[in-house]
Amino acid sequence: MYINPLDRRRFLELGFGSLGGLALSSFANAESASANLHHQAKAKSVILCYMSGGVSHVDSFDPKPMLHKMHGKPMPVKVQKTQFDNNGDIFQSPWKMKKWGQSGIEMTDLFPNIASCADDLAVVRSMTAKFSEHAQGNFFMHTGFPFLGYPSAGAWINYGLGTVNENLPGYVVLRNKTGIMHGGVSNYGNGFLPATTQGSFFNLDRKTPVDHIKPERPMEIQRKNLNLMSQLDEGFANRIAKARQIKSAVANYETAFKMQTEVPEITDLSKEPEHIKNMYGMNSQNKVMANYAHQCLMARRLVEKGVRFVELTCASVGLGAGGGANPWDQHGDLERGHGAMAQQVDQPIAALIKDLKQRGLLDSTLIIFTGEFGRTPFSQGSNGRDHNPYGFSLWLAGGGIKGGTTYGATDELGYYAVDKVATVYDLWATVLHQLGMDHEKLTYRYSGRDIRLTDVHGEVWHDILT
Amino acid sequence: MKLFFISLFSVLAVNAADKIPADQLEFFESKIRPVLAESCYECHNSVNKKKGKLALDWREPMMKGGSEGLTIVPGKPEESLLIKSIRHEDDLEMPSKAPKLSDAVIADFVKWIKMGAPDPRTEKPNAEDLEKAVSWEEVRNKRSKWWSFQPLKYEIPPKPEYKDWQNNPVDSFIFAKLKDLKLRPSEKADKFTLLRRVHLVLTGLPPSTEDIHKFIADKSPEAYVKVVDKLLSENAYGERWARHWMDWYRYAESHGSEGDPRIPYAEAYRDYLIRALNNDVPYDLLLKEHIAGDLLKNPRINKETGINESAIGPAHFRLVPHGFGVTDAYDEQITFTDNQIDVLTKAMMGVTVSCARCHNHKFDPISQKDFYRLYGIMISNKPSTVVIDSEEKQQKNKKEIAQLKNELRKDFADIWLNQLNNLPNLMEKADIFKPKLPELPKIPKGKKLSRDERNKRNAEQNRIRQINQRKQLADSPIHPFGLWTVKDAPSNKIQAFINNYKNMSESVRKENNEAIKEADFYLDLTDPKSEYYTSGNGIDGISPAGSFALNSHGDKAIMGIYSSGIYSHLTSTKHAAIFSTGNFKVTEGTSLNIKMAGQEVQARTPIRNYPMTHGGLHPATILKDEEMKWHRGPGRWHYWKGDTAHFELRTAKDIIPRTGPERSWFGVQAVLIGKKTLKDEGASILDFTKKNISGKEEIIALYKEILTTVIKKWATGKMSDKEAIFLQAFVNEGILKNDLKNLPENVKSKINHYRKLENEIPVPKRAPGLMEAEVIDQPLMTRGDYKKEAEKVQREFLEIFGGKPYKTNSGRLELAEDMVSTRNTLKSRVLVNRIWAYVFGEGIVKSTDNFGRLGSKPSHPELLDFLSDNFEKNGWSIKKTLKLMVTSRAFMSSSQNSARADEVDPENVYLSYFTPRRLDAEAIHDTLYTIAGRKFQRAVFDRVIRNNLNSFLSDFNRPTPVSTVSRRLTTNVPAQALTMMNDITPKLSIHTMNIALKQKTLKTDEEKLQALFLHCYNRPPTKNELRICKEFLSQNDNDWKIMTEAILNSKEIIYVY
Repeated sequence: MYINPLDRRRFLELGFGSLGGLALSSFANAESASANLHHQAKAKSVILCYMSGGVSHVDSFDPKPMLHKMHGKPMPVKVQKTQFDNNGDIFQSPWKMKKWGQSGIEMTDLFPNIASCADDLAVVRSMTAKFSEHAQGNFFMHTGFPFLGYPSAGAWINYGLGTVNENLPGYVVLRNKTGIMHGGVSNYGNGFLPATTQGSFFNLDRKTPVDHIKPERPMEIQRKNLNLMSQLDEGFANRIAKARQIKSAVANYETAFKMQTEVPEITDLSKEPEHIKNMYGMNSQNKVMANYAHQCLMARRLVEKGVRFVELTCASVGLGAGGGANPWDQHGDLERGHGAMAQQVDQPIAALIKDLKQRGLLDSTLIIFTGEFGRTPFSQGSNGRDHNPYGFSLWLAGGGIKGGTTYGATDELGYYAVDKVATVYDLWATVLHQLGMDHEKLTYRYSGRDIRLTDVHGEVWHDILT
Repeated sequence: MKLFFISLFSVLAVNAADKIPADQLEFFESKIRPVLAESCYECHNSVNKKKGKLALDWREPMMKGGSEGLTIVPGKPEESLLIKSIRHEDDLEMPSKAPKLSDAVIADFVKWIKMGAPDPRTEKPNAEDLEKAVSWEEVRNKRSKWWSFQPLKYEIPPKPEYKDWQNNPVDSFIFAKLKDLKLRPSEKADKFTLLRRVHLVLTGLPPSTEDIHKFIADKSPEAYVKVVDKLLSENAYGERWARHWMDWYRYAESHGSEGDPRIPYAEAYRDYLIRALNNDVPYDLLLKEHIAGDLLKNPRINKETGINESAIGPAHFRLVPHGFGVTDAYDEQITFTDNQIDVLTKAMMGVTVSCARCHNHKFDPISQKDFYRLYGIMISNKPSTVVIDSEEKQQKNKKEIAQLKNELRKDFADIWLNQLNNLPNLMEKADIFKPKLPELPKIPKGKKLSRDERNKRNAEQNRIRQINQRKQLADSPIHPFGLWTVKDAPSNKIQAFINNYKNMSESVRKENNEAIKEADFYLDLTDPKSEYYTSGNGIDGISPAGSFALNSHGDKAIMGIYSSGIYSHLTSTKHAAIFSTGNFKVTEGTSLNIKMAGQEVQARTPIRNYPMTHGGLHPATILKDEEMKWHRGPGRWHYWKGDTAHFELRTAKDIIPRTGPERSWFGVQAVLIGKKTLKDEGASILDFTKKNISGKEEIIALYKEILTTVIKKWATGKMSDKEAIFLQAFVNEGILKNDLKNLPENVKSKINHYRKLENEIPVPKRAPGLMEAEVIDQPLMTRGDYKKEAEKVQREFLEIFGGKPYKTNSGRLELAEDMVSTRNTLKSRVLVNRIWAYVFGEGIVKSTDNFGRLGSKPSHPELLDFLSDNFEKNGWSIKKTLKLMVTSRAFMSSSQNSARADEVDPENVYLSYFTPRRLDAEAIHDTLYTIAGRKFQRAVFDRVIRNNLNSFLSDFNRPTPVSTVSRRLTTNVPAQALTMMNDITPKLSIHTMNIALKQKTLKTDEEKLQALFLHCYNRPPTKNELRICKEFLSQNDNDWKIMTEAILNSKEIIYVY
């Protein structure tokens, strides 16, 4: 049974929301989903490389020669309120600009490996967000609203498409000695959507990467236990109305039971060849990089198994103001801080792009690289940068995205987005579009309104689509 | 002009419509145009939005059609796309994302097209025409015909023919519908099932084995009612139902966002709900308390604890999410005020007023103005804490202490007057004339101090600096001791000093007058006419000069004698106090300055009522300076220029979000915002005399004379500010006796008596709440954009329920009255419907939070109205309503469905049987721990920290605390099974087994199984179950523990049926 998004909404509206059947369906409705899509889908899965804390775009994907020319001079345009209110003068980038790939996209050498994939990237340089504070920025980027309670994009996507693999959650958040971003786990939450759609943590640094996944009893005992339970449940279901609910709940136990083997299998990397591990950087001396490489490799494995949405988290390198929740937040010590952070993710992400490509999976996997905002072109204190939601960069790759392109622009200093101003709503409209969904039609009625991931906004970035 | 306009308009209209017969024109104007305007123009117009390239706002484009082709084929409705789309045929659904038009309206359109679609709209409208195309009044009046906005109306149907359906009016309504549908109600549930069901519904806990035995044994007809009465009288009842209530008011103990700051005293609200429900406080009173409990004339006092229960009600207004270190304070204010309004209107009325922030509500009779009516009420209050002690407790020993202080005034005056002959000697010994204290030695390099050590050091440094500063000022011409310091000097020096004094005091006075004149904002708190806002039991208005405070401990008797102003500690430093100015604009090139003194007190300048602190943008300082003097206001002044702010002081326990120690106090005299600052005018002895002074003897004599006058004036209670400052200087320096050990016995014992009385004063109990402050009528925000403020909207109730603009302060008290008035047709229906939903599984109105057009219609409208009316007539008693429901035959039906029920009523809307359902998260938790016999805290008491929600409870669908939820989802996620299988049940199974089988008389497996089933499922096992279990035991080495684990994992445990 597949329920397309619109019917699904009505299904819930009509009060079937309390039925176990629904939740089960979204776990088990397999790939038949595509038959009911709004249009042909380009992508099946999304990998979000979330750069919590905010990557400086003027030091990476949107280099600005003007910063060198005007280094040390005051900003010539209106400076918006910043959170730390310690604004210095124009601050040149410590990194060098180059043209990369056939397409010749200009980027700095902060991410040399990612930049070498320039012809696979679509760099959006006119991103804006509405909030210059981490938690609100994180919520806004993930849910389209600036506070908790709304479903995360990964949840919306699973709600809309359902999961391919019934033994794995459809939205996985990878952690590997990494913190939780400001705003907390609700950033990965299902909000008012069915709980089946919420992000599930895979903690790669733990023996049991998923909470309670390790069987407390030997599997054969557990099997007997479940058999007895099902017999009792069957008797119960026969004695009361609404037997279907009970059966769904029983099936839920079976899913959990299978997950106990499926999850350890998928997280076991012993069968991955060494050259692949090395390609990602898993054996690197740089431990934070090795840990991030582990996440990237795991992301590929999850996508291969049909997981719809995988989100990766960065670890703090303890520089600037970047803590566990916001490791990219270099209010000070930008050069060292961003340098180390970039090193953490550069090789692993580039390897992910290449590995997906060589397996023919890049076309159906959409990679997103973004933080909650960018950083100011002027300094904070002597050697840092403050938050800048008025203009910043993100990039997309794979999943039907036209590589080697740029979209929009910021002003000469990289402060305000000025050309083709892009929003978080546009990002998700585009992502949903690539997954075969119309962002205006993916709605859920909650508290008297049809709520969307894109609120009442959103324009698809057709210019960067193949 | 107006006349001309009207006539011109009618000429045009005639021209446009001259060929249309009058009756058709009338038909178009009354039936067609209003619908087009209300339902279509927004997306299909020729001004700003033309979806599908179709405009319907005038004849020409409407006839031409859009990208889908012709819209109207005159005369042929069946071929007209318009008709197809409003009928929702061919995959077309118009109006989009809105309820389908009514059949009557669709019939009107069919008729109109049959007529040939006569349309007088021959002119292209402009933006203004569009705006006026729909009159809001018309739309509202039409929408207000929706069932939920009508007065209660019902008739009790005749008694059903079945005997056991004749005892309860609820059953008459249910039975009548079942009869209509030819549905036979299911049999009455057996006693085991019924007992478990009523226990879980009313208390969220399963019955004990003893409860079961007792109920089974009780064969009297009242057995069941006895159980109901007992359950309703248990504390467990309130603990269960308060949690439902907490869902409606999105209960949380932190604000979320970065840092997730805590909400001090939030749990007071939870405990208040539990007590209120257990005491069955009338619902109308609870509603009033929720809006304005702190303002009620006759609040509800808890006799046991002396708590003013009513004052806790408004705490929910503070349970909002807050952004962290916000850079746009207005936007933040809109966000959290919107949340307050959203929850208020959804929780109390089941309508979504916050949908009307940017435009009139799309479907309900709620205008955009309605949103701003409530907005003004909300922002006329400051987020705060409130003291929740009874007035009696708050005033504890206040009178006695005032009396005692009056006596002490006279006693001290006598002692001091007696000292004056010896004045020169006493002055010599005064500390202030001794050398300055040395600064603390520097911390040696490399030595790290602990936080404690650092705090201690800072405090000591602060003290030394304050003392040295005092010493430094002693020889100032305007200092009380200034003249004394030159008494031994030659007369020309004395003269020079006096001239100096004259110049200085003159220039200070002049500059101060100018500064005040040019100030953007000046608040003089020595002037009783000034407007300011306070709360807490410490402040009793402006105190006259000479008011004084006593020390609650230590060597010194008097803490200080003060000039006039506002003081929080004249009775006790335990008293609570909050002081707030009105609102002011942050202006360019100015600064904020406050003349204040205090200890452990927080000073803040909240921008747009934002109550959180943030080091950079929203700083707060803790004032630790007992000397009344000017301080620069805390805050990033230049950063916020152009924004609205106010200044406030809070005693330590009232600080948001992190409270301080029990004792703290403040005094405040003036607040000024301007380019210039004010200087202290001091209190020179020369201020009190016109005599010519030239030598030492004259100076000594003058000091004696003036001190005598000042002390005498102080004793009578009437003195000037300068005299108070003058006197305080002598007391503070110990020149006038203040050391306990030097005071006569009778005075010492009075001081000790004060200390005893003071000691008896309780530290005030607090709750989150609101503080009435400057009244604001909020300007409407065009399209919800605060940069486009339009006309101010007066504070008032929703316009559908009529009313007058509010006059009393913020209007909360008036809103409270309006909320429970008969004009509000929603309040009881919404509540009763929710109670019904928690009892029967679904509401009579399924959308329990939305009684508007997008909500569901009631399945039993008359039953809902009967219950609401009955509820109001029975003293708004929730317990009585619950009892009525759970003693109905409908509630007692078994949960078996008939084949016919499955066919006719698959959702069991008409209740031919009791709908089985999964328990909610809290009941699952509490049930598992109860049957394991473990000591545990009920889930209702689990701390709700927004960024760290309890994952077990969340997995079982406890909602994220962000807005009103009265109908929880029930979903299955593997996480539930994993936590049950691999965490909870392995932990609890052994205990469950042990307690179930503890009776030594249990011998055989069968006896044990009987006991285990009764304990876990609250019923005996079936034959089949006995067989299954015995089989399991025989195949699994008699492993009772694993078997118990399977039972705990079985669905029956987490179901009520």
